[in-house]
Amino acid sequence: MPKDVVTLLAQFDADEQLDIVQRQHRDRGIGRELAPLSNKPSEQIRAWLTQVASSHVNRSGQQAQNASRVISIFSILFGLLVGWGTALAVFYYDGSRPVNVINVLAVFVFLQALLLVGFIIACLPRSAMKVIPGLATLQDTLQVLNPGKLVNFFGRYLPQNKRHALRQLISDSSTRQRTFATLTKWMILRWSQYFTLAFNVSAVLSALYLVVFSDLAFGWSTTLKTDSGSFHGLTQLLTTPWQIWLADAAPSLELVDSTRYYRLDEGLLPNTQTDSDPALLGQWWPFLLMCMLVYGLVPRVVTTMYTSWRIKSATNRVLASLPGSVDLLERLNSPDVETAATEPETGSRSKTENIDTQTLVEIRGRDCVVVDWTSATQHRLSARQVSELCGVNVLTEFSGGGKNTLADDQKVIEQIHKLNKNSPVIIFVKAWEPPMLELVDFISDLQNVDTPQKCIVIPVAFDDANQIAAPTKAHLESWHQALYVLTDRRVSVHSLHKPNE
Amino acid sequence: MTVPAFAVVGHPNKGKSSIVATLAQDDSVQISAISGTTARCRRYPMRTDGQTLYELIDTPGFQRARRALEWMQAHERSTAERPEVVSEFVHAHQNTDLFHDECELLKPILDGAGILYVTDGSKPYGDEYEAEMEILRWSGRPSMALINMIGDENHVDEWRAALGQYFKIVRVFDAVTAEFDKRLELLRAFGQLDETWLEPLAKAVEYLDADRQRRKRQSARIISNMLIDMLTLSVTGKLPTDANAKDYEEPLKEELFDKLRSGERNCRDQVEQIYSYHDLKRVENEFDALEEDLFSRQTWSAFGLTRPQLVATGALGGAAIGGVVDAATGGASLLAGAGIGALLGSVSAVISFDKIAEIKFLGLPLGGVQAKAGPVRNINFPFVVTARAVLHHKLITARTHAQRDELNIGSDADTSGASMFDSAQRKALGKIFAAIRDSEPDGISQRHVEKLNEAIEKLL
Repeated sequence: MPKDVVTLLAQFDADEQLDIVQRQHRDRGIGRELAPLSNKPSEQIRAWLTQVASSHVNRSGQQAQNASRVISIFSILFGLLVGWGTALAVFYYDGSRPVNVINVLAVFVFLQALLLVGFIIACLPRSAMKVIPGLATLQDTLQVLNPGKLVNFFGRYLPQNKRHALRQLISDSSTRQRTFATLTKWMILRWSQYFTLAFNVSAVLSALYLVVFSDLAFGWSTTLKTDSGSFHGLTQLLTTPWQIWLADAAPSLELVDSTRYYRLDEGLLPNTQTDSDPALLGQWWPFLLMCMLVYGLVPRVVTTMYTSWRIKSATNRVLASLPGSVDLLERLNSPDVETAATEPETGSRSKTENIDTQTLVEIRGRDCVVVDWTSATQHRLSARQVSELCGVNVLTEFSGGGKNTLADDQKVIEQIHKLNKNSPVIIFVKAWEPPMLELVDFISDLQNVDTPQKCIVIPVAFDDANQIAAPTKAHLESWHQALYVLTDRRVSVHSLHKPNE
Repeated sequence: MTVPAFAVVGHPNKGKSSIVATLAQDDSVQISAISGTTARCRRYPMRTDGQTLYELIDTPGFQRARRALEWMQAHERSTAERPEVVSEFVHAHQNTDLFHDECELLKPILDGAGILYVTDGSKPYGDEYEAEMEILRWSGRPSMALINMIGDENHVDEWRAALGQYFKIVRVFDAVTAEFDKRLELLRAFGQLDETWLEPLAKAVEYLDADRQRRKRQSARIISNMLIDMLTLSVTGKLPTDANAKDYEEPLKEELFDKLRSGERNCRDQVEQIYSYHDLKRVENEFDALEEDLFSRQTWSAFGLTRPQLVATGALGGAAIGGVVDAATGGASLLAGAGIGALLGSVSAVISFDKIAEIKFLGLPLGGVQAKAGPVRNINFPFVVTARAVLHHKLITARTHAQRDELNIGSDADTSGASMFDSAQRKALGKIFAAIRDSEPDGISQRHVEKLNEAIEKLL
């Protein structure tokens, strides 16, 4: 199960290479196929993973699963070993003293119950810890002391790829780890349950082996002031779960009474009646085995199943709540809305170098012809003003472009040609309007003679008071750019004033 | 049903590409003050799950409108046949240089696109526009005029009067500042050009609106994650036993703030990407290192046990031993043994904690000293970070893809900090921040994350 979490994390990492649009496009395509799973987020994410995850991405999850299996197998083997060893120690019998039933109960019932309480505390949600002060610290401590935590130690000896995959699951160094801290907790608890379950299985088997293949004598002995009746009461209490259907596995008062021994007693079991002893003594082992099964093994089967179930549900929750999962689910289940161009921009006209602005110095004092293109000056510049501003003598003024027909423009060109052919032509244009090819055509036609005239294009602007003002730099640049296509050094763009920024 | 298509046409350099960039949310559109930047038609289909609901077509501007109109007038047979004449014009000139731009812009119109004629309302109207408007009228296609506002001056009335003679619908639309609602409103208005376009356009608006909400939610999640990281981030460094911890203070603090700043930058980049801004230049003052004491020196022990945990372990062990004594007395000690044992165990753990750290096992120390900077505990800190993120988001969503200047975030959010939020918002946020701040990095509940997401989404 946690394999999917690691695979998902690896896939999210791989997706960093794609931009949002690419991810949206890909995931929505898959999401439409997975529409029936839209109400089952974790299932939908798993199905998505199977479609998008590359073998490289899948390998990460597989390695995590393998590492997890290695740890599980190790936990089980370790549990089997410790369980067998513990049972051998507790059931140790060399003929000098009987196996003390109290030892067996202490290790396989009371200690197990205590560990079970520890497990329950470790299972409690963090919010419940706030109720009792110090309980959270106790829980932390139990988790640190948890045998499952040994994974941190043994994980070091795994191959590097498995170690890395395992660290993704149980390390808390990454920020997204916070989302699956609960999953990590349950995984560690399950490894500890594997250990405990194996411990109990092994202990039961070991006890059975000793019962079958050796002749054990059981008795009970304690330094505490306990009479046989009280101890019998305790055993009755312990047999409650099976008393009805397995009465033989409940020790009788007679058995309890007759198998008590004291450290100063002579012989093996001084209270027993020699003729009935073998059968009577045999009644202890079913009781002890049942105790080991009911209070040791069965709860651990349940806790192992419980932790497995919690891992399953935590994995589902983590899959749907990892940073990135909610976005993924939205990508899967929301329409893919695209508004941008589908093709890259082509055919844009590139910017060219500015051509130098020629000064009006060259034509100063000369006779000039003025063309007001598309009423650029809005009839606010008289011939006299132009003369003053440019330092030239205005021979005549014409209008071009705008409402003029092309024939009108042609007439203007002819009239200019009839005048002094060496007279420069000043063309006033609206600075704010873009240069059009119509003007370029006009200038070309104007210069399409043997001795082309110098043309000076002057973009004009108006200020707030509606007076002629300097054009902006951008406008001037635009005019330079447009007229550059003429590639005729006899055409220049000039500003009457220093351009504004 | 034919897909509604809209050819954005007009004089060069009047903001056609800006309008397209804004409506298509595409910052790849070339926008330049230099006229004639667009040389070819470029299509911007609005698609949901691959199905096109409408299409915008950016076109080059008219260059020789008078000459083109004269050609058409010369070939006119009757008013009814004017669209055919336009078509003939395109056929006659489509492979020539003379009317390259005119043919390019007229082709989609002849293919059935509606006309969106764009002018600049901040510049005065001129006679030179009449020829191109007349050509568009000749095409016989449904049309709308959009008065774009590129500069500060206002010549809208002048334009309305002129445009009204050629176009049934005239609207003012500022491509650079138009808010999202205004963009949707304009799209709806396109439906007025042809009643068969009403439904797909209404549907498109619905999808665009839902998509916008999705982007908002996604941004909220990114901001929330950044906040959680910032509230819990700390950097540690193991110190040699004889080191002076103070020497490590400044480098660690610097490392912490570098990480915090980098986290914020990363968040900004992601939010911009969500809103389809790819190469946006940002101007923002990064937040300053806080003066508060972020530095601590702590001893760590083997197995990751902190001092409280070791104390609890000692107490448990002591209580267990004491419990045996209690059992031996048959309960007569009234659990005094367990109590005394727990006390002794915890005291000894406190005393021995530093000593344990010095012990070496198999050559490895069981503990040591580490210096730690962070997490930032300043109460105002997450509010400042939130205010900055909310302001950035606000600027991004108010921005259009026609804007090409830098995104200037300024430092208002820093100074306003918590005052940016009203008391209810401050209270709600403060509660969530406190819960996250008090959680351990791996103990932040999903509920708090979701609550923070919701709170941030409301602020956006």
